Amino acid sequence: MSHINPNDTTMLLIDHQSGLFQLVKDIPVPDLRRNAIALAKVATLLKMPVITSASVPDGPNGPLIPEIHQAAPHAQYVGRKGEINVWDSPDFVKAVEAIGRKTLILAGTLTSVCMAFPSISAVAAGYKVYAVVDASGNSSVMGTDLTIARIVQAGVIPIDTLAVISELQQTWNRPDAMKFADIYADNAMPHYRLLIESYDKAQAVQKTKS
Amino acid sequence: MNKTFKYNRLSKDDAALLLVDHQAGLISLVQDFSPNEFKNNVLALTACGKYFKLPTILTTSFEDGPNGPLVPEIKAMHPDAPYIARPGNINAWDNEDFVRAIKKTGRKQLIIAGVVTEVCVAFPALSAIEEGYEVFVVTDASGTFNEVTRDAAWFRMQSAGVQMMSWFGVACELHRDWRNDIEGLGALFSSYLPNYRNLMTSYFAINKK
Repeated sequence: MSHINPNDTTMLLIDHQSGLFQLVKDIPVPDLRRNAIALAKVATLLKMPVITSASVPDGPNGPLIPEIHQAAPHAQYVGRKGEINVWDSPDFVKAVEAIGRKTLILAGTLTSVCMAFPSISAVAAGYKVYAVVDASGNSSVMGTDLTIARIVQAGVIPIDTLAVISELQQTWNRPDAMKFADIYADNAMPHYRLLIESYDKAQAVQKTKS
Repeated sequence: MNKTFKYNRLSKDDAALLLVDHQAGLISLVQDFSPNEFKNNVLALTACGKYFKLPTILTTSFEDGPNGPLVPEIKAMHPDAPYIARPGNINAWDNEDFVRAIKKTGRKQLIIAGVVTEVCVAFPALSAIEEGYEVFVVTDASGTFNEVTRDAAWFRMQSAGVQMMSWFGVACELHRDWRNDIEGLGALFSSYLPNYRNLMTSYFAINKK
């Protein structure tokens, strides 16, 4: 298994917009929002470049949810002129090329369009592309199912938020391990926070006994 | 069987239709129906009001904010209906103009649907029961965040004496007998029940032979 190399990866967070989020029916919107923020946070933790874009944000699609840039203050926003496929925007491709990394982690709303189109385009352009399905939202489960089949056929690697973070993390034996734990517990897996709290409490009880 | 039970049927001569807060923003919050299905149900009920010539009252909650404007098709079907844009009352029944418009109809049966179910529907439904009206809530033209909140709202209303119905049930109870107007009812159903339309298409094709 080849790990995702954080030092050769750029993260692309496409069209996570307040209007488009209203169309999402394949995943609860609070889950989608948490996953997208988790990706932004892990990119920040690993100093991984992030590029965001929005599709006609002045219209009903709405602005990017502010949490993305809050969680990744270093992210670079590239506006586009109407192109539905972000890869059709020369400015966007230029920004990706300027970074020079050959692996892309990509999530986009809606999945069938804003995630699928640039994922396939980027593979065609020679990149290794990981498409984060549960940090992308779609208007139907059926749409997501067939989109995964389509992108896999094109050579995109489908993955979920949890797997992306863990694969980037690689080991708990690292100084920033607890920062990863926070991303899991605050965003990707809120139930993990409950485990941590229960564990800490049990430890504290044991200590008072001894 | 409860011997004291009396079946109070909906009557097109004694019912009024209240469409509460079917606003673009609020409908975006509806997750207990698919978007297409929900809008179809709402418009079907709206069309029932027109077809059965029910006095119909439209109201919105804080429509200048994120709740958004009333779905335009509703207004288009009832251009002359009283339209009460509530400046703030969450319970439509707290708005005097709304209650006055209902009293003016003289009707004692109120058919209510709205968004969201546990608030914009339940609050006025409970208020209307308290005031002695017979209240019929149209479950499939009312929507909310999820099935848990919906079920809680249904139980609450039902235990207060509200009768829970579907738009199709409302239409059939109002119509009573196909022979009252076969073509009119058929047209209503075929517009909002694609499956029924298919049955009719097949039936007419066979009969033509």
